[in-house]
Amino acid sequence: MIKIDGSFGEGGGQILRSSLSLSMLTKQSFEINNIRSGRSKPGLLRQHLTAVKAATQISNAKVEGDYIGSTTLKFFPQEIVSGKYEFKIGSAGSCMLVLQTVLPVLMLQESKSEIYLEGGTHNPMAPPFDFLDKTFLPILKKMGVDVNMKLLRPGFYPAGGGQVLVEINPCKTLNSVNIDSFGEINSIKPRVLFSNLPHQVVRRELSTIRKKLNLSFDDRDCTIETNALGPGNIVELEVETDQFNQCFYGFAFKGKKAELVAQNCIDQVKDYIACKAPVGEYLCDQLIIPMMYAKGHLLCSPLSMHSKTNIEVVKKFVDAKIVVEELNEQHTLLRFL
Amino acid sequence: MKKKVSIGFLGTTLDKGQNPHRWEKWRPTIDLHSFDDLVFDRFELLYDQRYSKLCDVIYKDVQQISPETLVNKHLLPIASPWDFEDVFSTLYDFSKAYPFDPDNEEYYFHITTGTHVVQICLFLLTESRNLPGTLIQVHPNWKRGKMVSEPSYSIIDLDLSKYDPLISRFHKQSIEATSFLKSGIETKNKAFNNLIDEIEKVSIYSKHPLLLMGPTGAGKSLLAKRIFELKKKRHKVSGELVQINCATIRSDTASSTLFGHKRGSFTGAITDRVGLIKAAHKGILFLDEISELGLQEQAMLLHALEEKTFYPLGSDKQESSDFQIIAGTNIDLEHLVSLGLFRKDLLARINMWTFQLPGLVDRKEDISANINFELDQFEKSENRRVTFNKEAINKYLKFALSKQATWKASFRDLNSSIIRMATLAQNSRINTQNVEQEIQRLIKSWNPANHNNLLSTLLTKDQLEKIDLFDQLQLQSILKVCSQCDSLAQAGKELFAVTRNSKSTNNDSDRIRKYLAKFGLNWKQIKDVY
Repeated sequence: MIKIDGSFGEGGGQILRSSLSLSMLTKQSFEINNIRSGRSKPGLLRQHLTAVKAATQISNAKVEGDYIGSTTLKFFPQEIVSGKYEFKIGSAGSCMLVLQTVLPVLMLQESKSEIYLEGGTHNPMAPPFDFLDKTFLPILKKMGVDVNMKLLRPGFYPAGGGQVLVEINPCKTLNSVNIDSFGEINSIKPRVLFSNLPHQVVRRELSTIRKKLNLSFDDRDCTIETNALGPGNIVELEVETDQFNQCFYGFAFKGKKAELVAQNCIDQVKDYIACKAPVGEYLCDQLIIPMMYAKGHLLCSPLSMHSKTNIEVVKKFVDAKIVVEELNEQHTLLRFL
Repeated sequence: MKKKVSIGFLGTTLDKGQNPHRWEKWRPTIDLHSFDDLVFDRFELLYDQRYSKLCDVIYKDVQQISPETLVNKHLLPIASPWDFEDVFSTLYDFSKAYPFDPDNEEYYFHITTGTHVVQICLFLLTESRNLPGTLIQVHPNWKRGKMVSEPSYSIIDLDLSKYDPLISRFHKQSIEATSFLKSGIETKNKAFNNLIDEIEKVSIYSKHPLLLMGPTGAGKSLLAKRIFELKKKRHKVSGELVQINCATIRSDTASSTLFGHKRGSFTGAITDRVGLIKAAHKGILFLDEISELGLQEQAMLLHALEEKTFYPLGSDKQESSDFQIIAGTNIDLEHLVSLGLFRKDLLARINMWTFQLPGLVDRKEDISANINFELDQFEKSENRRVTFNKEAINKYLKFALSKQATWKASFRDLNSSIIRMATLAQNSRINTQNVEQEIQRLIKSWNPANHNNLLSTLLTKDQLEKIDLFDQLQLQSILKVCSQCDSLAQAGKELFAVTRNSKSTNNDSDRIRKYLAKFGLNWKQIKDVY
């Protein structure tokens, strides 16, 4: 049985989620100890448990230690079953993190799957729906996997209640993917998603973007008022290059100034453009497991703790050859052989 | 793993909100189900009909925010959530009706919502284990009017020792009540303390008859009075305390005293009279020495107790009275029933709660506390604080605890004994001499026929040995007469009643004084003893 030290590296939920995906993909059981041991509330929290339960469901796994506060978990996956699934995430936790756990598994099966998710869709500590939809899925498509995501209703913290439908058309053998040059920036598109908030908030965010990035656009083209159950607001900047589209986000919460929400997003875009590494920090993170099967190489910004941890976890499960080449202070080349 | 079950009231104020912005508000019931390290498998949402609309919102919101939780709505009608009795009894009934399964489930009672009365009742029921679980509360983290971080929760497991001070604070109220019944006397006698605890519970919660049994002077009337005052304090009675010693109404007027009469119903019934039973309406009727009640009155009383109605003498109009009865007796009523002197059915009716009050002899460890109580009472009535000196109290206690002290009239004896010593005490200080004299008085009162002891009391053994039996017997009789007289002159008149009439002058007092002097005795000595 594969043993994972949960306190290693990033030391949080990411190790657990990656381990679950890899365990199912490689059909190897694992035991993880010291789950989130350095955190203020150690052990499994609600959202982690939801991921464990989702993984258990799609792989008919046997589990030990699947309760809140548990610092040890044993996971024995059986046969993966594609099909229709419904996962509801409590306390407006991110649907996307649960999807992130099961998607790499279901996309490598023989038959289609359809997942209905309910919970948070635009959470600050997780990739938002739009990131997966616009940045991540197109790359999967290049690998040969056709995934369609539909946002039926966004879910913002704290009300949650977002609804997402994901259709996975799997592919047994993936095409290799190489993203190694930044290319030309064709456009930067701002978009603001909001619910149950005054329009003034949106105007302030867009005017900040207009000023700081020197863009010209019509507010009406960039404004999407949604039917979320509670109030919520997110700013998106989509950087379109020759290669692909990379999205960045600014998350609003009660008490945070609209200008600051926009500014957070603008800063990320400026860093991205200055760095000129096509695969940004968050995307790299998401791609490590799929790339292990697709092969190829990615030109990334310096690896985040999340990515480094992911690579280590991958190495525990598979004898994968992942070469990390730090080209310079701003560029790292990841080669999956 | 046991299932986690939350049980809480709909917060009619705190949980309020219909529009989307309710999500920006602090809503305890929602927050209780939003924690990332606490998930409930089931939530029992208690609500009142008036708030069913809000209940539906919360019902849906909890399901949305906590898909892991099965939510059950419970209609729990409480007329006034600020009324202790209403809330307590409703929750108590809930605790009896709900299918608790502590072997497989853990229960958390949410106290953030609901009135403070609800909170207190939840506390009391959890503390008494009627509700098997722990309390939980949710609190927002505010700073300068803004919520600075997400709400947190605390679990209050009353079984943990750190909550002892809190529990003892709640117990204080009950201690105050028991102490109240004991007139604030710190009694040590275990049986008596248990009895008082029981009486406290019964008197607060029960409207049934109470039967206080115990020897004369054990404090039955005082206790009855205290029970009434306690019930009055707790708003359990609105009427008055009506008390009567049945021995004082043994005549023909007994039924009229109890039930009242119509004008002209018998000779001397000049006006209508309201009986004691009517006067005790919504209050307490204390019938001391109930065994003294005639059989006819017993039957009438039984009817009044059972039907809450009765007929005044000579009236054909039924009267009603809803009263609680406290009966006192120093005689074994069972025995009287077997002799046919007391109605069996009435006894069955009034001995729903029977309390045997121990007499002073059986509560010797409480004598000390009761002496202090009596001194306090004396101070209150006489405005004078009297104390014992150390030797005196030791001497008195030694005697009070000895076999010699039979305390025939129980606490009544102690009461008069202390009053006598306090009255006689010089400079408000009871000394050994006061105590010695009091001891003689008590012995005498408990052994009234035994005047032989008089000689040995007044004369030493040596002195007695020098007196012929002939003289001893005469002296004994003379002393007995003296002891019953107020003055030497009166004793003279009594002892020389025959000869004094035929004499021109009488010096009877002098003759007695001289007679006593022959044995080394004087009048004052005799009076000191009696």
